[in-house]
Amino acid sequence: MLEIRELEFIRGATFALTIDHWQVVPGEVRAVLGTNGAGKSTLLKLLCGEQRSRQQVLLHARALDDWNPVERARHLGVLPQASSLDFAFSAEEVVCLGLIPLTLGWRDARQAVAAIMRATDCAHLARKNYRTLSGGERQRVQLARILVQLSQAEREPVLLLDEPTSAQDLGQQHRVLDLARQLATERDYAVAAILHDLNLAIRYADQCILLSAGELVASGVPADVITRENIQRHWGYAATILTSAGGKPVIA
Amino acid sequence: MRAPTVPSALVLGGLLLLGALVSLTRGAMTIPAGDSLLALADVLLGSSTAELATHQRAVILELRLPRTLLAIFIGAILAQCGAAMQGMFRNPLADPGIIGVSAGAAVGAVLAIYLAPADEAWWSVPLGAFSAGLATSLLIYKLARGSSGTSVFILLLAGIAISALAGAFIGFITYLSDDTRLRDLSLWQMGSLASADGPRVWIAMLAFALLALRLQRHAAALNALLLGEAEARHLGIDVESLKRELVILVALGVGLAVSAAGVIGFVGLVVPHFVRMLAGPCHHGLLPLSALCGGLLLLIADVAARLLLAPAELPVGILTALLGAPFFILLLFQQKQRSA
Repeated sequence: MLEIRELEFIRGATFALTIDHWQVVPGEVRAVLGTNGAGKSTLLKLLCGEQRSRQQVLLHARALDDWNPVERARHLGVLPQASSLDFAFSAEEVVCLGLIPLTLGWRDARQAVAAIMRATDCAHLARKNYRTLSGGERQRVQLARILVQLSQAEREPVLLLDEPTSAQDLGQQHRVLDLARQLATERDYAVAAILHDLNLAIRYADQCILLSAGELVASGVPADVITRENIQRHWGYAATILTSAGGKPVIA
Repeated sequence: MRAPTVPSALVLGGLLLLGALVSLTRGAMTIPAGDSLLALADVLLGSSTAELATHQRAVILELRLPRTLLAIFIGAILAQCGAAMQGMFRNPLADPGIIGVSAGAAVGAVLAIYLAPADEAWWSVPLGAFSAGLATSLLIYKLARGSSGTSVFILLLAGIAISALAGAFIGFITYLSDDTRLRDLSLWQMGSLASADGPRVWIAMLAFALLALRLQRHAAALNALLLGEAEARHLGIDVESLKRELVILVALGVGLAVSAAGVIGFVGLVVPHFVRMLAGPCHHGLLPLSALCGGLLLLIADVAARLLLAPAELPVGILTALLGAPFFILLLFQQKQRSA
């Protein structure tokens, strides 16, 4: 579980992010929504300790800074938006970097890497040069790396995803979020994802928050947050809300 | 297709041994190769099988042997420093020579040569080169580091600026020097291993051992660093202390190499590149293979420097530059194509 209380983060004279209380809980996928510049990425950076604020983020009720860095790495994984790499690693070697904080033996490590690469749909890329992969393939390889990193967690791991679907085609978008969903439901991962596509949020998130100009303006189940009014107010777009055959709202 | 690490290491090790034999047995003075090797065995075993005159024995044991070892260790140090620096800056073009660390270290060394008495040169020159190299590394690091990582553009510009400044400074000192110092300075500047002697070999060997051990310990962390600093931090690596140690180790290695043999360019750039093409970018293999390959390259360059115009001698820095600079230009072409 990842928790923030009385978060107040100020950058320069123009940007402040304030959130009273928010948490990412095991077994759930939580989406962070908002327009560009609303503070989504800043929130993610604060959550993983890349950016510091006065109030400490709590990972399993312990401040991030109080964790041993290696222990912490086994419980908190972050998928960056894009990862460039100027060196010719193979996809498998990139995934194997996730083994660094682990204590797996050689055989277990190989098995874990192979299984996770299959689950993330990138087993066939194993021997390919990472630099020749497409944006979507790279992101899946990076996701595999992070899942390897979290594979030895002793408590529920926390997975933070920064726009995990941005470079994926339609089918891959659903496969990636399906996987996140599955990790939450079946293996009690606590997942938080920045999502731009509201329909994906409706479909895969249990809860979501809406950020606007650094403030948390709405939170709750997707159907309560992603409303016609909120879309109009924050995105300035007059959406039509349809209802799918399953009874879920669809933004058009 | 990649060659596996262990066979590559065996081949490179074999070539290094071969190179060392050539280096020991060939030179301006003709000494029978078999007796040259027996003289070495005699030292090791305490026997006296070699049929050599005292001066011939001295050439082998006091000139060629230290010189061979120094070439190997300095080459290995330079190559490992290059590999570490490229890893730290996440850029395959970073090289202590190109970004100005060598030039900075050279200023320290020149100052020490000029100011300190000649009989204290064995410690004052390495110390001067190390301190100035360290200061330069820190300066470059501060300059090139921005909020979004290290700027290669600034890195290379800093290299140009520092090299120019260092060049001017060294020129000034040269101007002040008398004739004998002048000759020493200009020879040293072009890079030469002719000054090899016992203490220098020992210092180089110890520095290499320290560098190799510490860097190997950080191989996994260096791999992670290639992903990015934030990513490495998320993998549980203390990036700040890692970088601090790398800067100090590289300054130590480069300072030592510069003080012992002058500015020898391009080994740190070319060798890790070649090894990456051979066996991939993973630092577990890259670091030891770079050491072997760097030792081999500098040894070959030094043998060529001694033999090409024998009995006169070419500065070895000229040879590594002749080999390395075209390679660097080739790399730039490749980068251009990739970004096009």
